[in-house]
Amino acid sequence: MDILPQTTLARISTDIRVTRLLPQRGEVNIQNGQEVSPTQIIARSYQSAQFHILEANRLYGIEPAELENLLLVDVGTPLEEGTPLIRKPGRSDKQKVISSPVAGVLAEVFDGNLIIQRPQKLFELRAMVHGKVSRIIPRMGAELQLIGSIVQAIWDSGRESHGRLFISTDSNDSELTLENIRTEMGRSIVVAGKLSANELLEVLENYQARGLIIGSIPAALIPKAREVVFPIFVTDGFGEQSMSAPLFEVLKQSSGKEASLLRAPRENGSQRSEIIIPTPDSQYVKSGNSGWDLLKNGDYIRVVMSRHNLLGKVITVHPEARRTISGGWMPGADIELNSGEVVFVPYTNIDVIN
Amino acid sequence: MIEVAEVQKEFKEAEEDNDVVVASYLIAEVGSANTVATLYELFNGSFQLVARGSSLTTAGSPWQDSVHGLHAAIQQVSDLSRRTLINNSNVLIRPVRPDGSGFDYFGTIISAAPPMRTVVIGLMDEVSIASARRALNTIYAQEVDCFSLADTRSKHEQLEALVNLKPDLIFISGGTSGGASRQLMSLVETAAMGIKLIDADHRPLVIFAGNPELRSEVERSIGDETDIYLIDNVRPDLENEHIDQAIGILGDLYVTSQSGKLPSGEFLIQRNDLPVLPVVHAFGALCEFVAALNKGRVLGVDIGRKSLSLIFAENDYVNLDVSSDLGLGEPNSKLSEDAQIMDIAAWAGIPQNKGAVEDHIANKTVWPAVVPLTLEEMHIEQAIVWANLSYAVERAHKRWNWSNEMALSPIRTLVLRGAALVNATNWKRLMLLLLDSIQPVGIFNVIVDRPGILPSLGLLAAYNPHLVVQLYQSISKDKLGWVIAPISSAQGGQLVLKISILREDQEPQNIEILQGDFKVLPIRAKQRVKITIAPTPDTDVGAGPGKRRSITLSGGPIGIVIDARGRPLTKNADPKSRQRHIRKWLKQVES
Repeated sequence: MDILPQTTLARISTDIRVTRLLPQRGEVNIQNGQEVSPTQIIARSYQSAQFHILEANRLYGIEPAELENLLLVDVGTPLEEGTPLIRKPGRSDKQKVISSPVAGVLAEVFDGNLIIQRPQKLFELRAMVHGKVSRIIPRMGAELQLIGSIVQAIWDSGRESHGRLFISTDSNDSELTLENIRTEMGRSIVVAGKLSANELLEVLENYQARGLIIGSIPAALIPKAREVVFPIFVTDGFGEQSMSAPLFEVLKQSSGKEASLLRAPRENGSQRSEIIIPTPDSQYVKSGNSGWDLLKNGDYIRVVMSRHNLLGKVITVHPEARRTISGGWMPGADIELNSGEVVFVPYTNIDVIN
Repeated sequence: MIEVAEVQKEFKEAEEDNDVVVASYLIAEVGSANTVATLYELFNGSFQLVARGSSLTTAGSPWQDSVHGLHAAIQQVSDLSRRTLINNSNVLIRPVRPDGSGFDYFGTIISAAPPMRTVVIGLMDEVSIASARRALNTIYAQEVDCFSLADTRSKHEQLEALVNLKPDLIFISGGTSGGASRQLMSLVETAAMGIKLIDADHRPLVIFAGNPELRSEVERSIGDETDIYLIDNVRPDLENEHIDQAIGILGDLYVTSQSGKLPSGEFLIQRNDLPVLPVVHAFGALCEFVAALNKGRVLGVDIGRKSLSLIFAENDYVNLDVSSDLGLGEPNSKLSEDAQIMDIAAWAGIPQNKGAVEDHIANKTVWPAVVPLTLEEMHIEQAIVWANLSYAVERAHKRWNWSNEMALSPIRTLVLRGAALVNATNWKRLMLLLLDSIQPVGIFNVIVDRPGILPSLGLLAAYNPHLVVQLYQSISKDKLGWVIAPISSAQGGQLVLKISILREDQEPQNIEILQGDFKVLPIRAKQRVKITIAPTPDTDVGAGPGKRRSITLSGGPIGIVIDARGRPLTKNADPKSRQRHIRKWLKQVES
């Protein structure tokens, strides 16, 4: 019987595909098969549009049908302030040239109006990983391919970066404290079990940390986390959760290696943020980073709870509804927790660590 | 009482005359967190729920394909009913085969698609724009901007806003029929320019529901750039509002256009034998059906991951209000004000632990499908429901233009759905929170959609009312209990009700209720009792001030709740006093 569980990837040496997309259509300047580096700009687009409308019909009485014949420039032409745009008809001594009131590009002629798009801030999309271009997505970006390790996070603060991984705590359940902070963390991506002190974020900022990967932070720290200049990636939840041991292990094994923190696309809230550590020389082990499967006996999972996640293994899958601890009836599975206790967990709270 | 016997008699007669097509139905509900499939079939003369399967909705990562979740749910139904419904090529088997495999009709209801990001265009905030908004509030939509006479932005600022927002829909209203046109056409012209500047693949759809004399001009201006729907003027004059056609079109566009934006969303809407409906419209249809059946008003509440829907239905009319900015998943990030969090913590019974509430809310945004696994999680979740509902109900009354009198109309049935409501264990506590937030009035029963099938019955209501009556009857037997909620002008502590409860073979139990009381009287599920309620002259339990009512009813997990705290409930402005009251009420229901 079929139960599709949530899945979090925590894999060493696997085939990884990374999709890098512009926020809106623009220009992609790489080619299929090309090698790219993290800082390389692979596509550009304008961040937001600003317009000026020249109402030729209302201001100068030019009929919409006439306007195109009177234009002195084509749509798409870059304009300076004062560039002649329209020659208003009349006897030669009464002819009038109407000039562009602003700099920009003539974007459109519409119903007696000239729409001038003004110069805008450019958005530059960087590759963020070492990899090879496996597919170009026209006008939007590209898919990059690499061999490496991957850990998925459930929340990010909205920024991206890359740098060397620095494991700052001995174990997945240790808290990052002021005593753990060392100068070597400067310009590194810091990994720790959990964090609760607001001021540590400022300390890490002073050390010019490149990022922070953490099991959990209290929700009260979210506004501060969004403010600091380095990205924060949370792997397990908000509260006092430790980082799930398998996720910590993958990161620990990659200590000192270059990693990339890739945020989840904003337009798809259900997509996970990813921590990618390229290991080009490693042996290929497992394929695909979109791997998912039906829930089965033996799966290693985390039981997702509000404040403390638990780890365990699937013993029996129950597709027929059973009574949950809280009283509802749902399909799910019997889970043997790391403590040895066996509990029934509804499918909604099962996250397979793959 | 539901007049089922009459309907069943009519059904039996029709069956004997071979007028009824005996059929089985497989209905899928694709929600933002879960996908549910339900199989109904006629068995021994009555329709029954054969099996129900559920899966996570798989539109998001890692699956990125809505159909996986649907097939998993159908496969569960198949396994539980021991009947093949889908073949090895993932094709639904229709109609029923001689070997018993398959089913007859497939239908889908959907709420998983993202809300329609809408720019509203109109003239007056209080007139045409208000009507446009009332129509939009009946569907999963989010107003992202509004261009009106009150808008002080220049034309190019409006143009920039439109191009940068890239909305899914532009809803144009405004202009009384035969009225002025120039100002509205100026706004339409800006919209037309904006649409032309947006990439052809991302252009918004347009609904024009304004002055009909402008239709051809609007079509000429916009029609070449995108699809435009020219419909009835939603506000033909100051006194009248016609939003029914707009509601229908908005429902269709949500299904056809927004659902198509889900990964493999087109497959969800292609394979249906019945029209695909938004879940809120199907639930609305069910509430309207129940209101007609019971000859009494129905209040429906559906709280999901990404939205909260309120439905107020009478015999021949229904009010819908969808809040796409509320819900238990992503929109919860809006619950962030300190006072709100402190109230939630108080309702959760952990007044000193604001952090636990904040963590819970944040965790729901990243793990939206999870259900509470501990008592503390359950209490926090229910308190968040309270906060969502309090806000939604107050806003719905404003959106529906309700007078105080209308807001105090007695209801006959309260219908609840959504995982947070149906998976509760402590029903008394949940009822206190619900009554505090919704503030319903009258003598009404409380129905919980435990099997999660009511919207699917709403979809079937127009095609097989017999099935709906029979299945609704079985759900309503499993009711939580009854609520008596009077309105009274009495002062706190004064007598408002005298209640006499007559159980079989027992002496009557007489109870006096004072203004401000909140009491729970245990009545077991199968126990039938006759209750006589005698209100004081300044108190009304739905029949008029001082008018006595007698009803015979059976109980449920909550028995009978008497909420004499008054309507509307006055919230103490001082947080400490407010939280003291919350603790007092919680203590009363827990005792």
